[in-house]
Formats: sequence, C-alpha cells, structure tokens
Amino acid sequence: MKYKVMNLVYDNIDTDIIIPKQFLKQTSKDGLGKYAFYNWRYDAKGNKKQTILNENDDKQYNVLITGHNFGCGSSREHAAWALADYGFDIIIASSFSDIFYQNWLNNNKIPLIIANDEIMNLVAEGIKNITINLLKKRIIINDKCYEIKISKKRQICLLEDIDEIDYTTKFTTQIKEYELLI
Amino acid sequence: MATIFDKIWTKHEIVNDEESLLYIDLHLIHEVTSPQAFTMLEAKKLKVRRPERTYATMDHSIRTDGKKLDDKIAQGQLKALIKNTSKYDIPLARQGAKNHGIVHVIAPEQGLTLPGQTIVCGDSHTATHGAFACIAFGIGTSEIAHVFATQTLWQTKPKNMGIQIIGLNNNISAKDVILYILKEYGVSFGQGYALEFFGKYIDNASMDERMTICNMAIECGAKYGLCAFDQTTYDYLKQVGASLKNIEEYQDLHTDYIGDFDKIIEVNISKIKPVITWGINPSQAVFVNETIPQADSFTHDYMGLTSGTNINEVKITQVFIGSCTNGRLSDFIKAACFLKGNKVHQDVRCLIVPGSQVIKEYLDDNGYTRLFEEAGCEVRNPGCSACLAMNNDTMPANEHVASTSNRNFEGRQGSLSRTHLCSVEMACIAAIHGHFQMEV
Repeated sequence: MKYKVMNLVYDNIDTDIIIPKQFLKQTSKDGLGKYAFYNWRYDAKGNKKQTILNENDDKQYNVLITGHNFGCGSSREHAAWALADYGFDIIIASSFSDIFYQNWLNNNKIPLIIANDEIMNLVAEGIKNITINLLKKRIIINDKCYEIKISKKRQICLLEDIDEIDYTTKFTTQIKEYELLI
Repeated sequence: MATIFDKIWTKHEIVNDEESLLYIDLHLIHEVTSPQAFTMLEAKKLKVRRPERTYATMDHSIRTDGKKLDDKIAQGQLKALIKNTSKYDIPLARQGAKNHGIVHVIAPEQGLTLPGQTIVCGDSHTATHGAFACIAFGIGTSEIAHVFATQTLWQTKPKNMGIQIIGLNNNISAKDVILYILKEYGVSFGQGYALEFFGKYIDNASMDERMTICNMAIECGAKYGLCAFDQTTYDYLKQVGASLKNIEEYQDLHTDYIGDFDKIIEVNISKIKPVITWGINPSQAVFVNETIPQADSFTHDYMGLTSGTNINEVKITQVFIGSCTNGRLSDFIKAACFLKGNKVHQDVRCLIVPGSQVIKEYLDDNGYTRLFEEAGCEVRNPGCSACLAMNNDTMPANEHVASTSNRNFEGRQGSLSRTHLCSVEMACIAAIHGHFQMEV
C-alpha cells in the first residue's frame, strides 16, 4: 500500500475543529470529508484558504501525523467519519482523547500512539515506508517497530473486518444470564 | 477495598477479557448522534434490545426562540428521532412537553439517574450523571448502535484518580472550581482515568454543583467523573421522587480507602478567585482582574487579545446563561439575585436558556422570567442553544461572549466567535457592565 503523509502537528485538535457543528445535522455518515477541518480550510465567506488541507481533492493523503490529545472534546463520531472520508487510514499522535480513540477504531481504522520526540523525528525525516502487521499488533515505520495499542477483541475485529456488534453476538447467553439476575 | 468506580464496574462486568463487556443500565439518546446508529441496527436487521432502558430527547438542534425550525436538514434529524423512537417503543421527550429538556438536565430531574448505574449517551458531557455515584460516559455512534443491539458495551477499564478539593472559599462557585482545576492541570491530565471528586468542598456541595464539576471531566481529558453517594444525593433523589429501593447498595458507593486511587491530586481552593477563560481551550484561563498571559499568536489573533491585557478590559457584548453545565434551576435563581433591579448593559445581548421545561415553567410561574425580561434578557425555551450553536442561537463573529457553557473551542459558538467560559455570577456581572469585574 502507498502512503502519503500529512503533518498537522498541533496539540489538542478538538472535534469541533475536525468537523464543525453545522455539519452534524445529516442523518447519514457519508460525504463528511469535504467538511473536515472546515474552519481551517475556508474563510468566513467560504473561500478556500491556502493550506495543505485543501490539496487533497483526490484523497491521496492517507496518514495523518498530529500532536497530543488529538480528537478531544465532543464525542461526535462524525469526526472519525469525516477523517476517514477525507482519506486518512492511520492517525499517528502522541496521545488521543479516549472517546475519539474508540470511534476511530470502531471505523476499523488504525490509531498509533508514539512519543512526542518520535513524532518530531518522523516529521523531520519523512515516512519512507510503513508496514502494518495486525497479527502481531505492530506497525513498522522507516524500519522502526511500534506497538498498536489494541485489545485482543479489537484485533479480531480488525483482522476479520467485523464490527463489535458481530463480535458480541457470541456472548448473548452471558448477557441473558446477567439480565436474569438484575 | 475499592473505589466507587471499581465497585460499579465489577458489578456490571459480564465478560473480562482484556476489555470488559459492561451491562448498561440507562441509555440516553438525542437527535444528533443517534440516527446513524439506528441505520446500523437496521442494516443488521436487529432491534433495540431494551427500549425501556432507553430514553430520548431532542435538545441540540432545536430552536429555543419559539419559532418553527426552518432548517430542512435539522428537521430531517428530528423526524428521524420521532420515527425511530416510535418504531422501537423508546420514550421520547418532545419539545414543549413537561419532560423535555437537555439530556443531562432532565434525566436527574426525572429520577432516571440513579446511584450505582452505568449510564451512556452519545454526548461527551454524560459524566454529569457521575455526580450521583454512577459510571456515566459519552460514547460514539457505533457504540450507541452496540448498546441498542446488546445493552452492553466493551470498555477498557481506566485507572482511578482522586481529586481532593480542600479549603473554604465563599467567593467562588462550582464552575470556578472545575475551571481552576483545568487552569492548573490542563486539558488532558485525565486521559485514561476516571476522576472522583471528593473532599470537604464536595461534601458541602449541592447536587447541582457536583453536576457542574462532573460535567466538565471530559474537558480534563477524562470520560468519567464522579462523586460518592451521601445524604445530599439521597435528599435530591427523594425530592425528585426517584426510586430508593436499592438504598442499602447506594450506601456502599464511596471509595473505601484513599490508597485505592492510582493517583491523587489535591486542589486547594481557599485562595482562588472567579476563573475566566481567555483562549481556545478551557485550560487557558485567568482569575478575574488578571492579565492575559503570552501564548501562540494564532490563539491571541483568534481571540483578538494581546498578552498583558487585563481580562476585565475585554468588551463583552454577548452573554449566554444555560447549558448542561450551568442550566439548572439553582443557576437561574442565582442569576436572578444578580440581575434583580439591574439592567443588562446597552451593548450586551443576554440569553437565558433553561435546561428543561420544568425549570422554564418554574421560572415563568415564580416571576423569574419577568425579572429577567425587565432586566433586558431574552428568556428562551429549553435546549443546548448557544453552547454549540447548532440552531439559530449563534454568536456573531469577533464578538466576545461570557458563557456559562463548557467549551471555548474555535468556532464553537459561531464562526469566529470568541468565548469566555465563566460562572453564572461572572456572566451576570458581564451582562450588567459589559465587562468582567469582581463585584456587581
């Protein structure tokens, strides 16, 4: 797979920045990529600003490198949908908000947490190659190995390309038993 | 020996295999984050497993000015909620009905929020309910679909952080306490933790005050915020007619031993003053009458401020009193004390938006609405309103807003709006004078 990397190395990029509230009114999750980072891409009159974010019409950027506490704020999964539709498959950050991390995984996308100085190195050196090994929960970037922090359940979901609801069906009996006790 | 959080977690754990499969007692939903979850459910030909444990309201995109919603896309969202709740037999609090309001205001008010429960909602301010000794947290839409289908959720158990609030201070409110914690510790110190607020301050705090503090756990980076069960919790539940049948279990909802926390921070509030944010995240804050510190030029430019400017000199032209942080009855009674006999400054628009229909009617029936209107405020119907400005209650570009809500993010209250988060008291003072100051 070919990777093209976008660097937005700021801390605390919140979900209001990723997808502003005026785009949360639709009832489907499709097509939100065109509104991703809207206020950073367009001025108040709706004219395009000069930013790398506006150089992705063919969705060639599929890796985002960012800072600390990415996706903080609102729980809106629209943020994950918008970033996925914009083209990103992998987001590398020094940390993620807990809710966004789940939302990104629930769209079967990969979040990678690496130390801040490593982020700076990647930005300086550029990413030459990425290999994902889900069986070993690893990503190899520029010949350096990083662990993907996911549970066994999540690994199965990603490997089998199923969602959590499908996975949970095998515990239906336990859920029923629990419900009998309460 | 365990924390409250761990006690509730263990009780709801159905499977433990790296992540835990937790049973969910109460699932609150609203119009913005639920439609896609219903679509996911339908794609799998599944049903809502426990509609009686689900409760819906419409709060985010509705208008609060009494006019008909004219936004076609937002209308579609409300129609979807009405259709879906009717199809799956989920109770719905409709606009104008007695049970209607902001999701985190109405559930406690109607006795739905109970100690020891697991409560989820597709809304990050769900930790509000943690004030009742619950595990309450915000979830994404895929997770909403999972709860619909299974009444459970997979979660990684967080660590426990105790936040001990000590010291006495009569000059500040609960909002100042949580903004002070953010100012001191930043917006991500809670990542991976459940925050339990305890100590003398919490012991003396009302449920409304505890809810204001737990509400903003997410701003600290934590999904969960909670307080122990005590007499204050009991009295509130009794007053709202909530079920007290599990009272014996409730009494165990306290952390046994301070050593049960993985981490403890001590916050002394005895010397603090009212806190006001000046930047674009809730930790960028100063005390009233303090100068704005140095920061990156983007933040200063966005806010139209320079370092060295006193926060009291910022010209406030918009005031918003409401939201799930400060939209409860006690907040409006406090606002009335400040605004009684005063006039809103001629350059200021002041919006008063009750958190629920019950509160709205109380304000109407007891002369508060009239008092606010005579002071020059606009009193609205319940809803999230200008907190996230999904409806018409947007704040104009470049104007400075004194807001009792929870987020001052770029564009949050309107394109290029400049939010200053603060307490109800500070918002009232700003409404009267057109700027912040210590006293009325």
